[in-house]
Amino acid sequence: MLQLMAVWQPGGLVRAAFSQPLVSLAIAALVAGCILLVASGRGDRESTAPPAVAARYVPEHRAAGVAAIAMIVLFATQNVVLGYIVNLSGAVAWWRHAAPLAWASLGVAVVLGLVVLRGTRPPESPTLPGTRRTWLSFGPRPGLAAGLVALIALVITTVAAGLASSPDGEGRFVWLVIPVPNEADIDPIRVVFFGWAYGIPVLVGAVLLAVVAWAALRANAVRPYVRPDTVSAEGGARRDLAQSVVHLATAGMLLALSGAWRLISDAGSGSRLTILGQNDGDPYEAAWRYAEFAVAAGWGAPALEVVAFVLLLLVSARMLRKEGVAPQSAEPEARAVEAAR
Amino acid sequence: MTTQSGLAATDEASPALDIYRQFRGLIVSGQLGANERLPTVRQTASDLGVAPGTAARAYKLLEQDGLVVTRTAAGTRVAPSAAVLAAPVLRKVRDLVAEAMAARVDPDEVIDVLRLVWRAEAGTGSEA
Repeated sequence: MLQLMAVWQPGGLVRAAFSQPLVSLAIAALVAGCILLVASGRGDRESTAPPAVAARYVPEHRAAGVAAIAMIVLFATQNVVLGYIVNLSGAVAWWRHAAPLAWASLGVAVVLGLVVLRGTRPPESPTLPGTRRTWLSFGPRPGLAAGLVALIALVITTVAAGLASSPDGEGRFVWLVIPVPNEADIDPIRVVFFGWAYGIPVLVGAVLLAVVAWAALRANAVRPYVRPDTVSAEGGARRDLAQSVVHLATAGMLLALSGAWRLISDAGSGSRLTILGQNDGDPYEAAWRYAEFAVAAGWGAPALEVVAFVLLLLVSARMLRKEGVAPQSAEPEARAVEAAR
Repeated sequence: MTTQSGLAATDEASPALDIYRQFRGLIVSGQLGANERLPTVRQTASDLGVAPGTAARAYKLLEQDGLVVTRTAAGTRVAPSAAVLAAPVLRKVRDLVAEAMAARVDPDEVIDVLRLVWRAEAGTGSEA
C-alpha cells in the first residue's frame, strides 16, 4: 500500500512514466514537431538543385532518413519484445546495449556505401576548389563536438561500470555487489549491473560506429564536385549529409548510453534485503557507495533518449523534404576557379 | 614570382602546367591565405580527373616558384611571402560570404557596409 502511494506521488508518477523509453519517443516526437514547425515558419525551405546534383545526393539523403526511421523502429521493437514478450531473466543479453550502436553503424555504412559507389564519380567538368577538404570540412562543428562528448561519456560510463562490476558464478561480469553494512555474516546483495559482459560489446560497437562515421564524413568531403557551377549546391548537400551522419552516430551513442544509465540506475539506486526471521522482520537497507550517481543516471537516461529520438526524427524529416538540394552557404571555391582561369 | 624555371621542364599545354596556373591564380589573387594548406595531391588529382603524378608535378612547379612550401607531415602550404592575406583573415572573409549568401544579401551591399565599418573602426567614419 505504501509502495502504491509512493508511485502516486508526483515524483513517482514522473519516474514511472520516464521508465518507459517509448514515453521518451513520444516526447521527442513533440519536440521534433515543434522544431520543424518553427523552421517552416522561418521559411527554411529547399530550392531545386540542378538534376546532376539531385541525382547524386538525393539517394544518400533518403538512405540516411530510412536508417533513422529503422533505428527508431528497431529500438521500439526491442523494448516491447524484451519488456513484454520475451523473458530474458537469468540470461545475459550482452548485445542488448550494443544494439543501437550496431544499427547506427549499419545505417551509416549504407550511406558510406552509396557515397563511395554511387556518389563518387569523375567530374563532368573539372573543378579546382583550392582548399583542402577533410572529414571536418562539412561536418557541423557543434554536432561533432556533441557526438564526441557522447562518445567520451559512453566510454567513461562503460569503463567505470565495468570496474565496479563483479563476476557471477560463470565468470561473467554482470553483478553489482552491495555489502549489507555492519552485518558481515550476511551475504552481500547482488544485482544485475552494466558490467564488462555488457560493456565490452558496447565499447567495440562505439569504436566501430566512430570509425564508420569518420569514413562516411571523409568520403563525403573528398569526392570531386560535378561541375564548377554546382559547387555551391553540392556544398549545401554535403553539409546536410554530414549533419545526418553525425546525427545518426550521436543518436546511436546516446541510445546505448541511456540503456547503460538505466541499468546502472536500477542496480545502484538502493537495495533492500529481507531475511525471514531476522532483524525483527524488517528489511536490511544497503546502498551502493555511488548511489547518488545511479539516481542521477536514472533521471538522465530519459533525457538522453529524447535527444537521440529528436535527432533521428529530424534526419528522417530531412529525407521527406529532400526532393531538391539547397544551395547553401558560400563556397568561394567556385568563383576561385573562375578567377584562376 | 616567375615561372620560367618550372616551365622550362614542362610543356606549355600540359595538364600539370594548367593546374599550376590555377593554383597560382588562387594564391596571387588572395583566395588562398598565408600558410593555408593546399589539398592533397590525391584530392587535387581526383577533383580534376588527372593522374596523381600530374598533380604532383604541378605542386613541384609551385614549390620551385616559391608559391608554396612543402614540409613532411605539414603538407603543402601557401608561402607567406606569396599570399595576400593571412589565413585567419581569409577564413573570416569566407565566413562572411557564407553568411551573406545564406541571407541572400547582395554582394555589393556587403562590400559597401564592410567598407563603412572599416572606416568607422579606423576612426575615419565621419569622412565617409
